[in-house]
Amino acid sequence: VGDGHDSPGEVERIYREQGGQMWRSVLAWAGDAEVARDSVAEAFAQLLRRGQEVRDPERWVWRAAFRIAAGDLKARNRYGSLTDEGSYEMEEPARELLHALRTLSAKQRACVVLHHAAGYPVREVAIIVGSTPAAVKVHLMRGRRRLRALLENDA
Amino acid sequence: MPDFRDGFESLGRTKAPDLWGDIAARSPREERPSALRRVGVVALAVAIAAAGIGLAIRSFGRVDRPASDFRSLRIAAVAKIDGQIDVVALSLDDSELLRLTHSAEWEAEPAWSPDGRKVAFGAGALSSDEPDTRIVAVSIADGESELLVPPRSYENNDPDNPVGQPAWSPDGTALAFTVFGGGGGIYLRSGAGEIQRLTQAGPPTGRIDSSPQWDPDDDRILFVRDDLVQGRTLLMAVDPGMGKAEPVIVLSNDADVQDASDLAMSPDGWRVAFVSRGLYVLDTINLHLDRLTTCDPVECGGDHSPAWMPDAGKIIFLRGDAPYSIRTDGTGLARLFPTDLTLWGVDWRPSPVVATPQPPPDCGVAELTSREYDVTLSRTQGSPGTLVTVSGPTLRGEDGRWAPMDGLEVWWNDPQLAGPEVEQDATHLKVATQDPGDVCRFEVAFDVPDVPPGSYPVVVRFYNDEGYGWSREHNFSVISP
Repeated sequence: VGDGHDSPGEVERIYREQGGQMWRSVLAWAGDAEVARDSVAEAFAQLLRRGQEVRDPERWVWRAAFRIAAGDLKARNRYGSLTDEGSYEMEEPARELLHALRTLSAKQRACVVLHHAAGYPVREVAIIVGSTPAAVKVHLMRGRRRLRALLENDA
Repeated sequence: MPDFRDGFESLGRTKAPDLWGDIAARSPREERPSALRRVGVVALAVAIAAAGIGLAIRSFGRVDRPASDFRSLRIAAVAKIDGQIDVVALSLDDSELLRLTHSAEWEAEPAWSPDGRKVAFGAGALSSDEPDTRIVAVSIADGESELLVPPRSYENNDPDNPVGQPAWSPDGTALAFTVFGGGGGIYLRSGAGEIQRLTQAGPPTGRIDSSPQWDPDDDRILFVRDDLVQGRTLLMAVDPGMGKAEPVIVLSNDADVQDASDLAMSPDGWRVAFVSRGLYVLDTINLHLDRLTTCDPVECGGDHSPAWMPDAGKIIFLRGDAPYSIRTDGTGLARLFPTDLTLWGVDWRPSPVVATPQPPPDCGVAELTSREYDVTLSRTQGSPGTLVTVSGPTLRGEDGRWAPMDGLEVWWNDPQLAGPEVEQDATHLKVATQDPGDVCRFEVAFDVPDVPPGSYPVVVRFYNDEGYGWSREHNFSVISP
């Protein structure tokens, strides 16, 4: 039996502490504010439903949000479409970053976002994306190199 | 100069919506529609192939090939050897085989323990009037066997309805298993050896429960329920502590799925593979179902016995009696290795190999298909040297299992290359093989003026999407531009 969480209050605490960062991370990964909104809400709703079943709720809900976002994107058959750019306020550097992230592969994007937006160390990123630390390092290096090249060209 | 970090800092200042009201308002356990990908229909039940009917029985005169190092044994299988059905552990290229049982009985459904040290399986006499079926575990290192579920320790006393399908808990202490027939259902063996019935199935109930698999993320066991009364096949989940079973999805709602068997939970806990009219993968969060293979049991032997590789990127399975692998997106279908063994069931060793990289059997096994690659120098914090990453090399082994490689890491142990003069992402160099067929000999040509020519000891580690690889120390020749 794992640690789990025993109350909606605990889930709300996790949401209050990490929900905003999670929404921004999923937004950066998916490039779609509506997908980010739906996947974060659904991930926390599933965490509430599963109760004590989930042994590590914080890690679980991050993974769930990205998995749900991937499913939503697959269903909509679009990645990083940035269709509702005007629906939320965002500074220009962040908007440029989101456009640049669209050019990365899904796995590179996930590694870069989890490491740089969510602040996870490489080992945690590897667990979340289902990969190895060595592979994550390679994805990070390639992703960062691509981002630098794109953002320099835009300048 | 703009940097992507400025973008992330800016993103961190973006105001996120408050979703708590939305979260709280979402109805409990609503059934999400299944986005099923229909690929076609195969008319015959794959269960026929899974049961081994129609598989050729051949005599090989095979002798045991003792494994020099049991860590190289990655696959557990039930195989026919010298007329006997036994449990074996195999290396990836079939060059090593460790025979775990030598018995005239039958064995079935091997399952590695999470630490990779033991294999559990069902066993019983080929012909017996007594209910003697049981579940046994054998140690890979010393061959010691342990009786986990003794005969008659469960409620079923019907000799024709055996016990089997062992599934280890994520921590390796408990074991879920299936009892078929009267008194049937999903059972649990605790770490203390106590046996408990979790679900009620069997003839009086009108349903069959089978194929338990532990969800590594959650404290629940997934299994297949055939509801014979309503003619449905469901994926169910049961809490081993509470014993309460709930449906996850009605698999047979999809016209493409008739029955389901051979559940295999991915190591990351997000997907479950199963067999129906081919090999399928269900995302347990989104409940998206993908069909990976179409294989007529008559024409190609049928696909069965799926098992996940540790990074969840590939699934191995049996097509007829031969081992195959396929990526989880349905691409890359390939024969895993040639073998003269007749195999009935396979499982992949769960321990990640990255922590203990294995040397290749022969340096000539892998082959670089291109002689030059652009690489980037960088320094990795905490590493023994400087990490050199090669962009997208393709290594091709004799059986194709090394191709395509996702990357190549070169750890420079020489202090001249790990010094402060080498900056992260500073420059490029080229790696070339002297002989495309020999990965043991490389030349590294630097474009960096401050790296002097010479011979440098390095450790090279090859890996691919599965994270498998091997490491070996080389002397690299550095040639000035």
